Amino acid sequence: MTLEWQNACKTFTDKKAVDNLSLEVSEGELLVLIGPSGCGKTTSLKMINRLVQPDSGAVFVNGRDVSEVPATELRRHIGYVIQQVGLFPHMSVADNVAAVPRLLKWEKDRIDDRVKELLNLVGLPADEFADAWPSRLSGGEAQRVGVARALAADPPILLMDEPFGAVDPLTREVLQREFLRIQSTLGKTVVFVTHDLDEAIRLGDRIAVMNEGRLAAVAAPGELLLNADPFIRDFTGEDRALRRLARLSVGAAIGEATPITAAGFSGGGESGAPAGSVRTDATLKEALSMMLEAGETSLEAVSPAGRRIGKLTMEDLLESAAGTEAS
Amino acid sequence: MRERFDVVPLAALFLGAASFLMPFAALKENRVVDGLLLNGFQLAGPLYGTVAVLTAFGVLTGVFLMKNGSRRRLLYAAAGVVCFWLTAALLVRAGMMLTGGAAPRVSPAIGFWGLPAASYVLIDHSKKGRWRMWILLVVMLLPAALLLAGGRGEAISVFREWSARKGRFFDELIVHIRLFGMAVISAAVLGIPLGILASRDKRIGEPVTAFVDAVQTIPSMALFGLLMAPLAALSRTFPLLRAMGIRGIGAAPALIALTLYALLPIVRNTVAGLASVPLSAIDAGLGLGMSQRQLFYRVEWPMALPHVLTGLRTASVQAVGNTAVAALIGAGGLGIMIFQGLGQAAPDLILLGVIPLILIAVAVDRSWGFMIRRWVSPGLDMKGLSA
Amino acid sequence: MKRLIGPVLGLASMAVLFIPGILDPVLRFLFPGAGEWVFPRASLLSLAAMHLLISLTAGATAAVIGITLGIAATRPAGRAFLPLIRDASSLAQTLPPAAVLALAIPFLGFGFEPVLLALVLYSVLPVLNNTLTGLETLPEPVLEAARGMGMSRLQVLMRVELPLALPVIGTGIRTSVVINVGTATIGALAGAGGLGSPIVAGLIRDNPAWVFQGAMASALLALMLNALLKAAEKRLQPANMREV
Repeated sequence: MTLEWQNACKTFTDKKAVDNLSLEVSEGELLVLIGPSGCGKTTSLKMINRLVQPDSGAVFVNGRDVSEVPATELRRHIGYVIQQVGLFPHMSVADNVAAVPRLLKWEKDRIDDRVKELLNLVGLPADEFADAWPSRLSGGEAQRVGVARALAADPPILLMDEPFGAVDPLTREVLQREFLRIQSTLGKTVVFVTHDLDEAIRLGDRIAVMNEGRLAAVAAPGELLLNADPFIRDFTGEDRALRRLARLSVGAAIGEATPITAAGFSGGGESGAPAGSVRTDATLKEALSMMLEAGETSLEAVSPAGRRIGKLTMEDLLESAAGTEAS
Repeated sequence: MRERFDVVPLAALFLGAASFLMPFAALKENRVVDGLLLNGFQLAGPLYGTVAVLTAFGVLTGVFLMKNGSRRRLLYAAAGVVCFWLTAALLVRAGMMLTGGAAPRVSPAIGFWGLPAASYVLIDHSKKGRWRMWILLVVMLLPAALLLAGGRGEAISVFREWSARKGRFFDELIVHIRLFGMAVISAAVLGIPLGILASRDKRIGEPVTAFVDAVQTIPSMALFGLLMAPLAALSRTFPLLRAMGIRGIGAAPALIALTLYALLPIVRNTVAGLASVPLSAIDAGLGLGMSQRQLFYRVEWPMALPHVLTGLRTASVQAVGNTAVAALIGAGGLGIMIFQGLGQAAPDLILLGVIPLILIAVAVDRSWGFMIRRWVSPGLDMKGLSA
Repeated sequence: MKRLIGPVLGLASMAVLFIPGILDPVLRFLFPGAGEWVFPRASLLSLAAMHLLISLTAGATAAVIGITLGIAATRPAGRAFLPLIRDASSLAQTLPPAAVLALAIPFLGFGFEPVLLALVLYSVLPVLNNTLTGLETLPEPVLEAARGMGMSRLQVLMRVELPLALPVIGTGIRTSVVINVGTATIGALAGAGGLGSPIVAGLIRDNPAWVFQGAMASALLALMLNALLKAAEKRLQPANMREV
């Protein structure tokens, strides 16, 4: 499923919320919309499931103008997750997850199986949580139910409006990691709104930065951090070079393409590599930190299994940070 | 683990003991004279009185000595049952001590109210599990019921008044229940849709709220009176209405006034209930693809329900009491006996009206409580609504 | 402009009701067939004063009882009584005031006292409930901070808990006073006077004009007290808590 905004505009009373937005999202892509509050990112998101009607321009889902699809029909096939979760307090967790399948009039057995499957998928054992009431859940658990509810009817598109914004940083990181795991198996087309740059860099295939209703830039995270536009520079912050290093693996810097694994996420230096060496699946940010700590300008790069692969030098780091080596 | 010292049942025990020693009943020759006030000890006689006092001491020592919480609760339950039996027994004793007169009777005094109150608190404090409560209730009430059925209670003043007007009493009881029931039903039929409309549209909401608020400031008695004049005029002008039984006095103005009164809690709570639905739930419901109808029936209404039912509860309980006042404009009901009693300075007759009135009010209140527990999803927070 | 409509309307109705020269022709116009118009036994003004006295005395008594019970039930020593107090006060609200009045007359005789008892019993609940809500819903960190800076229990109550709960308690007092003004009309049944007198007399003698003046005067009283107490409540609120 592809998504596209075409010259979409929206004005609230006298403020231009979205100003001539044109943007495409390809099948299976995770696009992050980011920007300062009031930049129009949530309004843009809500145009997709018609919770907001553009004043002019149009939004297309799979090439079809959404304004031609009945709103309820459209929404039942687009998953929607919001920051306040919005679980229905009078329904059990299972009934919350079953909300859309019931709207679609699925058979009872099919709904029951689906609910069980989804609860297990988001890491809430169905035996324990199916009959629980939302008021008993922690913030992280509630948001997992929110994600399960959005995925219930297996919609090809998922809209997420600051879904992890209201939970504590530790839980947020766990939820982000789990969401990436789920996304890697389901491959939905996702539009994800956030104001947290680290979250955008961590999750996004591409990041669209919005400012005062306009699209300021759209790029893959690595490229975005190199963008010289003054607003983007300012938005990405003084430490954007470090943020960029955090996106890149040691392996990539020495020409051995290696994905960053869990160790890269939690910043865990306990990678088990011997002193003076760094694992190829660690991030360059970690490698830099290790160099600074050891007072060295180079480190041995070893594979996760411990095999020596090459040497990571300060030059490699400088090159990567400068972006001559694409991510 | 050592349980906390229970002050509440202890206070109830002292209340029970004090009630035993305070004036319990008055022996009268007829319903107007003052009569002879006797306390529990005097009624029981020296032998049984001493036994009762010693029992009370025994229970108190038991409470202090018993370390086991559940055994102590059993003692409370037993004490509660004894307090209730004692009330019945003392009344019967008093009946046996009547010496004569035109219409000899036993009128309850302060101690009569204290003993059952102590019994209620003790039993309430000992409760554990529903079915045990029922057994307790049967054990408690059966002897009293047998005593009364055996004709031992006929000397009690209220029964004297009752047996003098059995037929009339039941007629008025039915009139009362029908009147307040119809008022609450019409208020619900009118008030819930009004509340829904009011919360949808501000232009309807503001005048509706202003109207029901204004009605509430008019005293119930006055509202009955104010409706008499226009209804009498209508009835004079339109013979059809008169044929339907709509007149200035009687059931019609009473029903209208009672309905208007019951509107306020219902409308206000419906509005508050719908306003209490968080925006995030509505946003989520729409986002999941619910139509406005589905959103209302699946999300908004179930979440507003606890408020709406609480409004109905308040309206019903108030209507029971207000219906008593309706007797003033000839609508009938239990108020008849109350106002006759006031007019004839006959407290026993007042009691005959007031006791069923209170029982109905409490029963209505409890029934709504039961229905709220049944109908409202346990996932919803009922804090601040249970009163 | 809009803010003035209420007070102007209130003053105008007061003038109509309480200046006999104006009331009489108005009633003659509204109820041509009544026979007698202005209630002859006492002036509406003196009846209103009596009415106000009864309802305010009852309101003050209910406030004292309700607040005291509310504070007692939220202290560690009184906590065991909390469910009992809640039960008792909601039962008291279930009892119809007319029933309580009728029950109290045989004990207390006709006059002021039984009316006071009935009103107080009926109006304790709003004050008590709001006191409990106000004291129970205070943010725990605030109380902890107060205890942490070394306040004694009494100081925490007087300097932190009560000031913070005051707006909620104030609303409870207002509710109970407004209820009292309406309910106090039943006082006429016990011969306590007040604006119930023309109503009862009108009902008995079938004179709608009497009923009307009593009803209007007590409704006006209730509305005005409500507005007055609402204004007072706004003053009670600390500046930063207004417009919640």
